Amino acid sequence: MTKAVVKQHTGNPNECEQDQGSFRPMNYESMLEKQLRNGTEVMICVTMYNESYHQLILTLAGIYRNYYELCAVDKNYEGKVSVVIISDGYSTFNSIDEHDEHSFSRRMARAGIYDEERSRKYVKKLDLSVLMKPQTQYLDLKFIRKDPD
Amino acid sequence: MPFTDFLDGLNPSEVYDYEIDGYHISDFMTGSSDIGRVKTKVFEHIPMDIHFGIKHKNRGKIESHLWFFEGFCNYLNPQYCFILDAGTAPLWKSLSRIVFHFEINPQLGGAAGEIEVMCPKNNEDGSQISFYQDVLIMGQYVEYKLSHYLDKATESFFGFVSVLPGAFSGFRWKAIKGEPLKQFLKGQSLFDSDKNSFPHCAVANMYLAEDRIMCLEIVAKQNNNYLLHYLPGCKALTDPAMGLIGMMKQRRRWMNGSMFASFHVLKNMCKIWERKNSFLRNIMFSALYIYM
Repeated sequence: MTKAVVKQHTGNPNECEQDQGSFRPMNYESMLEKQLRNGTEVMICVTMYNESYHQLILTLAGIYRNYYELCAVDKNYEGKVSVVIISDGYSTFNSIDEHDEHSFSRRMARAGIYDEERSRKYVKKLDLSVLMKPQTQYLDLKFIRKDPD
Repeated sequence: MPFTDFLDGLNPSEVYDYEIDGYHISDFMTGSSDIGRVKTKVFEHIPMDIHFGIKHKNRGKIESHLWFFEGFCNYLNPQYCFILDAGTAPLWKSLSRIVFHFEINPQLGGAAGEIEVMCPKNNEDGSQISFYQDVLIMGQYVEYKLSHYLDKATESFFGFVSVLPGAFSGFRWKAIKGEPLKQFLKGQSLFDSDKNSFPHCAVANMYLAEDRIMCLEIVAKQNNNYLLHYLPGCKALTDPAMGLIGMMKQRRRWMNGSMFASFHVLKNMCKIWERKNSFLRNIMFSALYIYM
């Protein structure tokens, strides 16, 4: 895949008038590139909560299979299908056992889609003991709307 | 990234045993000599763009959809967008056929395929399923089949499907932009607002079935003539609830939502007359409403 070269703004308002050397070019494979290519035809959202890696593979296999079919019929679809996987909550995504090689996050890291080290600096240390507690309170009575009369 | 990269996350022995709908994964992905499948392996290493987002807090599925629609779709401006649940496996000629159906019918606003229940032989821990679990799964299988073959097929004839399931459906981005999307995501804003202004019970229940409300809004979109279709044969497999408690929780949520959303749809049926539409189509919609 070709990478778009995006110029990072240095914060100086007059930098366009200055020497081109003040621009710091960076290779950035992101949605900015898609915007430059201007042509996403199909977007697929995969929402996940606590599903296993196997279940995600099942879904992705089906999506890839259908993508191949689209490309087989119409070559224009090549590179114009995007998948967005959204994990509902970092704590459910990350394993409680840090040494578990079969955890979801480790498997995603092996697939090359997730970098644990990079995300760690953005995420606060989680209180994992909360996850171990059973959820007993299903309804909070104070949320029930009281009749104004 | 190509699909083979995802298989790197599995152990080699796991890849060997991997099956989808009774087919080995390599057979499923690259086809065989049967009619209607991709026969060559030229597409095996075609990459697809994958965006992976992790939300910090667990705030529900609607917020995930908010990220997708308001974030990704707004920015990339696609033609069609699909929503799928992880664990729901679209089979061959499902998503692709829906996309081609969208292309053939420019007035199609949304479409859904058939969701079929998987019939697993083992539990997640590897133990064999018990008799009562088997009965539960078979019950769900029949229920899904009936709802698709009778309800959805009938509704699709009239051009309005009462629910395009959030687990497997596709929309034309142009059709859902604006009021339909606002209604779809309204459930999130209701719960995000101040605790003192918590919504009324009926409203809260109604927005449990946000997909039903969006369906009405797509069809009733002013100065447009969008329709909703159900496409039989575009199958996706989903895993059933394996226990009675899990199933009851799921059904409680669905039935509450669908009942209140149905009331909402019936109450707002006059909206369809604001469409840019033929008189005959409106008569058909009215007939459907009377049937409902």
